[in-house]
Amino acid sequence: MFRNRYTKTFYLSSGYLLLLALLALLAGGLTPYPQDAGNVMHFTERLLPPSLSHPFGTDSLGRDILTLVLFGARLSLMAALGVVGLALVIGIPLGLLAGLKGRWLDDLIMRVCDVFLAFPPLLLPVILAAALGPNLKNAIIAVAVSWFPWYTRILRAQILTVRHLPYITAARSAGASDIWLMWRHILPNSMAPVLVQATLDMGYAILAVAGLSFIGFGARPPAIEWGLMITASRATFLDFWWTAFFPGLALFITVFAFNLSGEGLKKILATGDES
Amino acid sequence: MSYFVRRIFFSFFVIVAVAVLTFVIMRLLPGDPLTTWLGDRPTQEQIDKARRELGLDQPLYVQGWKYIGNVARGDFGRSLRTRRPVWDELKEKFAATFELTSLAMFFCLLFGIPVGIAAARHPDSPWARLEKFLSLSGVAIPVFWLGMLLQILLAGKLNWLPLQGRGVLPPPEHSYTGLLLLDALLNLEYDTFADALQHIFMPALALSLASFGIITRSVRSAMGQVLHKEYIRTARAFGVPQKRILFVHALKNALIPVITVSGLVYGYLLGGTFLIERVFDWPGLGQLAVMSILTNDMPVVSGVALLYAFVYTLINLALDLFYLWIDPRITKNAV
Repeated sequence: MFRNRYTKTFYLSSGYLLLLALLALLAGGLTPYPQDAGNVMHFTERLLPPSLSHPFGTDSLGRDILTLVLFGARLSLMAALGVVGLALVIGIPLGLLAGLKGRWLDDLIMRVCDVFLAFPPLLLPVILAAALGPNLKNAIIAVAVSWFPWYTRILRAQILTVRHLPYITAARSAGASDIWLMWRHILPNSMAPVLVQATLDMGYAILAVAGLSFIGFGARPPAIEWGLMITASRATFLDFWWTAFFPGLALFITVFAFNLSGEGLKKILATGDES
Repeated sequence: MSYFVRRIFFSFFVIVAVAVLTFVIMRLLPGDPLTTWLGDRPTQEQIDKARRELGLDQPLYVQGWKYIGNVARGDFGRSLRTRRPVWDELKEKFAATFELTSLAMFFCLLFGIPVGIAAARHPDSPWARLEKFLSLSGVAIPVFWLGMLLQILLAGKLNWLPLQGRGVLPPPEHSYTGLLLLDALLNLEYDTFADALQHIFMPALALSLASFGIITRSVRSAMGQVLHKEYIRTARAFGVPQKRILFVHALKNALIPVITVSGLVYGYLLGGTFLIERVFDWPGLGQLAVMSILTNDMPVVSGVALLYAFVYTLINLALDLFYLWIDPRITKNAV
């Protein structure tokens, strides 16, 4: 069925991600406890261990953790798309400018990128998130802003190799305008590595946003988000392990799946094997 | 040589730019830093006085310029929260973070190199599969969650290690380095040493498990390439013992990529301790940064950012110098 194992991992991992997205969307209809996504409390159901009626157990408010994990997937997947999407929106035009215009503009953009990349992994997002006001939207913006230089760099490097290839010269000598060259020839042929990297980064984006939520600079209650669920479990997790275990496991598997599908995509594009 | 002059000049520029950027963003933070300095309900008179004293009544660019000038003279200002010199806070907290990440890095290399070598030698063995799994899953694991799982297991269920903190015994009599483990040894206070080791073990383990895969992966791929080289085959043909081939001839030549990656991982570890320090209540730079951002303690945040940028730049510079030293062929291409 699969031509090689890369495509197999790619389909398996993307299959999981699609399934997760679907479950997250339909969470309200699938779970027997849709009201748990709101701010409710079930005194008699507090901190129940995993069982048939609550496969992941219940949290300190008596809410079904499986239900919360499914609802939490919404925000985490949205965060991944938001961070990477926004970073691409900032990074690609800058990469284009740097790669095509060159000269001082190139220098300027690259130096700005260097400065952003000189911050340690979480410091800039934390400062930015604090400055913008701690909530999920701002956490996404904060991570994206500290992230875009990677795409700018990759795209610029790719453009520098592509722009001197014979077919570009040919198109130019055939009278193609700069804008036409850029949109029809250079950009499409430079985008593959950027997109592969973007897929790989989705997982890290989820991790970064969950991390921000964990230390209080991301999603705020009553939002349901995996990192926040783990923070909430801090009071109970030593005696009731499932309150921390399952949200973290969901986070781990999802990030893992994004990494696998990114790696798979890279291999598939490199070998040209699509089936 | 001009390459290195350029490099150093550029590093300097990056550090200054990081300082300026942090400074500007911190000024945009909601809330007034004066409340941190003066506490609740100060009188208008106090506010005006403090504003003048702290230079907050001047335009932003004047403040920024002054800050850079002060830093250049080694004056990082005072913490608005604790009123201690920022430099003292930084020194103390950096030592804690440095100790933690160094031990984590040590674990990474101690276990990562053998596993990577084993995986390179036998590409279809369980070792190789373990390496593959670890290198893919390690980077996907939320480090704060991993830390909490260790706490559940080692502190909660088994009760082998303390849950959090840096130690319960009083610090060693003389502080030579700020590193608790080292100071305890130098003072011959073995109980303190054991206490500190018990406390540092779990956070260091959690940190290293999350980065372990990156090290094994680079060892595996570098060794994999080297082991196919002709001089290795020659050495084998001459009957050089396998261990010697692996650890002397091959490892030495596989070291460049491994050291590069280790340098990057180390920088990453240093900067990535926000989460693990929170989980283990470790009194390091990450905790200091979070606390200072929350309390609008601008001088400290700027100081932390500056220190991080400095260390990062230093690591990169050291890596470049290291290449040059280990492989003189690189110079020609670099310049």
